[in-house]
Amino acid sequence: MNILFRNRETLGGALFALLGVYLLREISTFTVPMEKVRSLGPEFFPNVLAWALTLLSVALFIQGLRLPPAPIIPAAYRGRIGLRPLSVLLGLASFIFLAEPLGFVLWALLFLAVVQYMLGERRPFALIALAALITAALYLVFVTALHVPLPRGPLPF
Amino acid sequence: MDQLFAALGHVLSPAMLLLIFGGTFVGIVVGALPGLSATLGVAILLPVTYYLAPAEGLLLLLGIYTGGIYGGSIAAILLNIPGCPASLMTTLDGYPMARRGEGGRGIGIAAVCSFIGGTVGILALIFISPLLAKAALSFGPAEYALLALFGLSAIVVVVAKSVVKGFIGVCIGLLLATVGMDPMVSVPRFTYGSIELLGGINYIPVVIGLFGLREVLISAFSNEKREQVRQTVRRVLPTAEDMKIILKGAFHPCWIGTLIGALPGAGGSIAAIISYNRAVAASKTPERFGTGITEGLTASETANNASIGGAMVPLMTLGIPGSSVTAVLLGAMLMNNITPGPMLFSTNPELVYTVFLGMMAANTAMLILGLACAKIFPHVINLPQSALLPCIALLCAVGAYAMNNSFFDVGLMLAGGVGGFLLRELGVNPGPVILGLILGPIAEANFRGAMELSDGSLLIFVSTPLSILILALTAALVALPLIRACLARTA
Repeated sequence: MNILFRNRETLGGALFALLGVYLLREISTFTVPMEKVRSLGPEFFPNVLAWALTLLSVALFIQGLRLPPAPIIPAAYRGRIGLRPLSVLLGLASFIFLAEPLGFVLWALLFLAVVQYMLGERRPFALIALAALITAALYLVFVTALHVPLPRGPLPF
Repeated sequence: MDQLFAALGHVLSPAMLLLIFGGTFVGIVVGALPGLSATLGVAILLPVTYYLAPAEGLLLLLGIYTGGIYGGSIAAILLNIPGCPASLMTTLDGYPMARRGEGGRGIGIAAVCSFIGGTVGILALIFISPLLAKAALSFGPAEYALLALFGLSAIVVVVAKSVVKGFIGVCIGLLLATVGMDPMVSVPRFTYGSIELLGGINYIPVVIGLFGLREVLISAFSNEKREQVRQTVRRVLPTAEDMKIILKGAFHPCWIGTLIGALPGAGGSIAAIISYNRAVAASKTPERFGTGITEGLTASETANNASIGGAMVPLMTLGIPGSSVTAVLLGAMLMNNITPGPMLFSTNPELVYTVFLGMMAANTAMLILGLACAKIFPHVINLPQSALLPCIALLCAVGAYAMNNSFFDVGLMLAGGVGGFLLRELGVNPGPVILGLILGPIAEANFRGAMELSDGSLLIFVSTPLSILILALTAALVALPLIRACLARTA
């Protein structure tokens, strides 16, 4: 376990090698046409790439073993629970589930206000003003100018 | 000639000029914001081009690219933080100038130098491209497959800090490109029963995630407090003395920038470093460099913008991008059913001329906006992260959704952002991943095509002098870092 977490190279090498082996197993399940009229089948290119990925990952792992131990998590990230990036990610993921029922305008207003708050903005006017301004600008560009059918929701626009 | 005039009329139409000026302005703003690059600007506005005519969309993105490279100099001068990698050397003389209270003058000099460099780079593109395209007409599938390999190797060697990690990135990108129906025998690959994946991975949301959302996540994680620009920008126009120095010193940066830009994998940052070092070496007073002199700004700013025209040469003539931003531009072209390469020059010369003239217009827009809006840029740079990051994130979501009105694409964008963040933490640069994803279908189709022509013999890849030359260049390119490492160890 210690070898695995020795530095970013050993961890990366192990993870990519795992991915390579998994892909090789997946490729072996590809259905290859019985009458293989062509010289190379659909499995050839992914196979070469998966082998290359596995071998390169092993090389990276060996490189890591020759390097001194180093922290995997950068100093700048240590001690943080990552609420800020998590709020951005969850907020964006909510677009997939909430944009249809809420509509783009309501969802964007909520998203901007909540994520701004999570990133440290505490002035209510700034929160609301920027959310309204950016939502209106995006609506004008995408819906009015480019005719992109963004989800409407309960609002008439 | 008729096509040239038609293209001129097209570029000078009010709608097109509005798009070029708008794109350039967005590019300058994105480039000026520390941490955001021209690539991010091009990536997040990529889906917008889907709703425009092909030439219009392309010129919007070229405006962002041109503006983005110049915009990077503004943060470099006012904050000592390069807005984008290409403006790294600009900090050396730009920031000392700003500390003397001459930030406006520095921005003005940077705008003029960028204009001169950009113009020469585009002229080189106009004159070199048709010749190279003519030569490239003789390329067969084997040469194209090798060219793709060369482009991928070049980006690995130049962009990635480690060759092994760079090639891991390329493999990941190429593997992502194999997802979906096999193009020749219609066998599903890595689709896991998903209907959406049968058509392959749409690279646009992945590009947005890898370059847009990933940057948002990095900034949100690090929570760094940026220094605020305190000074106000006063005089912007360079003095007559400055103009004399610029005109005298712009020659070498122009050819260095164009040449380096044309090399696949190299870009504005390397061009600026080489040009600046040459200027220091050639100067009678090298000790003055780094103290805020016009000569230093001229060397870096002229070269990095000259690299834009150079970088477009391999893209337009061979269809092989040499950098992350030109890879995204290739994606935009393919999305709009434009296949760059030698055939484009004979099948759609009007579009080629439109691109050339549009780049000239974007370069002019950059000069005008750079000088006219210099006073508002300090306020833009001062925008707090809490306001900026949600806006970029929202743009990523809307951009990913807009192209196909698909929530699946939003999911792909999220996966691209998280994947890009994790890859970065493991030291893998996203540039090779994206280039692999975009070039993957081209590489596979040409490789398999060549193998079919040769009845499965690999000898086809060494059957013509041209293919041997490309192969030798690729081998030399990959061997270069290894030789350098061996020499360093011996020393």
